[in-house]
Amino acid sequence: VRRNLDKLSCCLSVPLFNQKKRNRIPLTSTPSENEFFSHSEYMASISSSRPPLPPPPPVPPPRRPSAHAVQPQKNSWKFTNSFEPQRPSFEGKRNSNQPQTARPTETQVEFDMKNQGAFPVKPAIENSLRILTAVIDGMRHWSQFRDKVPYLFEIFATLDSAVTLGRYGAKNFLIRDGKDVVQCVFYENQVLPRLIRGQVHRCVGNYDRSRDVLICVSVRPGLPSELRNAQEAVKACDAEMRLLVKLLSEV
Amino acid sequence: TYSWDRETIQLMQTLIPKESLLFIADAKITFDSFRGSMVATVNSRSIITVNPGKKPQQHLQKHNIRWNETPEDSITDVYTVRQLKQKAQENPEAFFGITYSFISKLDLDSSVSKVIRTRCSRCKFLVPEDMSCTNQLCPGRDQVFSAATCFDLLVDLSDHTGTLQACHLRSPMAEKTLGCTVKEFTSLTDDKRTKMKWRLLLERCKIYVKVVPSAKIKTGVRGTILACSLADPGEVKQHMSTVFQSHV
Repeated sequence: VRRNLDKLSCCLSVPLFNQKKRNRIPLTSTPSENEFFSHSEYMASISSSRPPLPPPPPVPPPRRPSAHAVQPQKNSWKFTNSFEPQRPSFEGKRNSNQPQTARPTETQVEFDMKNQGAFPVKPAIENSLRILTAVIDGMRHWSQFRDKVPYLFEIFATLDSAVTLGRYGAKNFLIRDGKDVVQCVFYENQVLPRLIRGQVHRCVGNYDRSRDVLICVSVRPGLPSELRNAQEAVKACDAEMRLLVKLLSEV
Repeated sequence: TYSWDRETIQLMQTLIPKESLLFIADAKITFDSFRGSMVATVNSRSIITVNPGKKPQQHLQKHNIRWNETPEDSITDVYTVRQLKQKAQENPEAFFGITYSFISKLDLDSSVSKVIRTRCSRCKFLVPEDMSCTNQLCPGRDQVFSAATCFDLLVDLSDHTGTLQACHLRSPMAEKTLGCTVKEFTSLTDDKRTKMKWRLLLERCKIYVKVVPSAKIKTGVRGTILACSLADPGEVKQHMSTVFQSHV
C-alpha cells in the first residue's frame, strides 16, 4: 500500500487495502446531469469565485483569501482577516509548488490504527498557522521550512531608517536587532502609528524569503515590558521549531 | 387543590432560563404522589426574589454551588494551543484553561452578520431578523416575540504550536473583550471597527477558554472564549519559560 504522505499536509486515514471510495449513485439518478459540470460551467464557477485583484504591488503580499473574505466595497487594499494557508486555486500565492491536495488541518490526527502494528504510525505534523516570536537571524533561518508549515513572525527590532512611501501605498523601512537588518514593507490601509527612528518596534508579518523582505501586517512601537519578555518567547519558539524540523526530516 | 396565582405566573414568564436566579422564601414542600417526589410550591406566603444580591450568592458559594463566578476566579491551568487540542482528543469531557495566544482571526470589520446575531429572549435560540422564535419548545412561544441582539463571533487563536479555529466569542464576554455594547458597535464607522479589530488582531492575549471535544466538528474540538484581554508581558514570560522547560 502506498502511503501518500504528500508533504504531511493531509491528515486522512491511510487507505489500507487500496479501498477506493466509490460514488454511491442511486440507480434512478442520471449521473451526467447531477455530477459533472460542462467545461464552460466549471470555468465560470471558478472565475466568479475569484476576488477582484487590486493593482499588483511590487512585492506580492501574503494574501490569504478564505472562503468568506469579502472585500468588495472599497478600492483600497483591505487586508484579509484570516491568515490561514490559502487554497491553491487562488492567484497571488507565493509558493507555486504547493501541492493541490494541501488542506489546512487543525488537529494532530494519528493515522488509521486498524492494522495496528502493521505500519509504523507517526502523528501527523500540525499544519495550522503558527505565530513565532523570533530574532531577524532566526526568522531567516526558520523561513526555509515555510512551505511545509505556515507561520507568521513576531519581531522586536529597532527602526533603522526613515519610513518611505512606495508604490500602491506601500510603506518601506528597515529594522535592526544587533547585527542583523531586514527590509520591511507595510501595505495595510490603516494608518501607521508614528514610528520613531531608533526606537524598538514590534512587527508581525510574513517573511518573503526570495526577496528578503518582511511583509508586515502589524507594526507598532514595542512596550518595554514586551522587550523584556521577548527573549523568553524566542527561546520557546526556537525550541519548538527545532522539534518541528526534526519531525519534518524524519518523514 | 392547587391555586394558580396569576401574579406568580406572570412573574415566571418574565424569567430567562439558565440566567435568572431566584431566592424563594417559605415555599411549601410536600410529597407529590403523581410525580413521586418532593415538590416545592409557592403559595400566598411565599416570597420570590429575582436575582437577589450578594448575601444569597455567598450562601451558594459556601455550599460550592457555582453561580456567575468569573472565569478568573477558578481557572488556572495554562495550555499551548497544541496542549488544548491534545487534551480534547484524550478526554471526552469539556475542560477549562488559559492560553497566551495571538488572535489570528477577528472579523470585526467585514459583514455585521458575522459579528451580531439575534436571539430569542426566552430560549436563546438564534432567530432570523424580524421573525418570531422557531423553537418548538420555547417557553415564550405564546407571547409577543422579544429578541435580543448579541455578539456572536468566531475567532481564531494561534501560538507557536498551531491554531485553534472558530472559537466562539459571545455576549456578555464579547462586550468586555471589545469594550463596547452591541448598540455602540452597530453605530461605529468602518474605520472605527477596523481600529477596534487591530487593537486585538495579532496581539498576544490572555484567553480563558472552555474546550469541548466534538465529533460534529471537523477539527474535533470547539473552543468558547470566557474572557480575553491583552496579555501582560510578564505573565507571558513566565508561561514561555515553562514552555521552554518542557522542551529541555
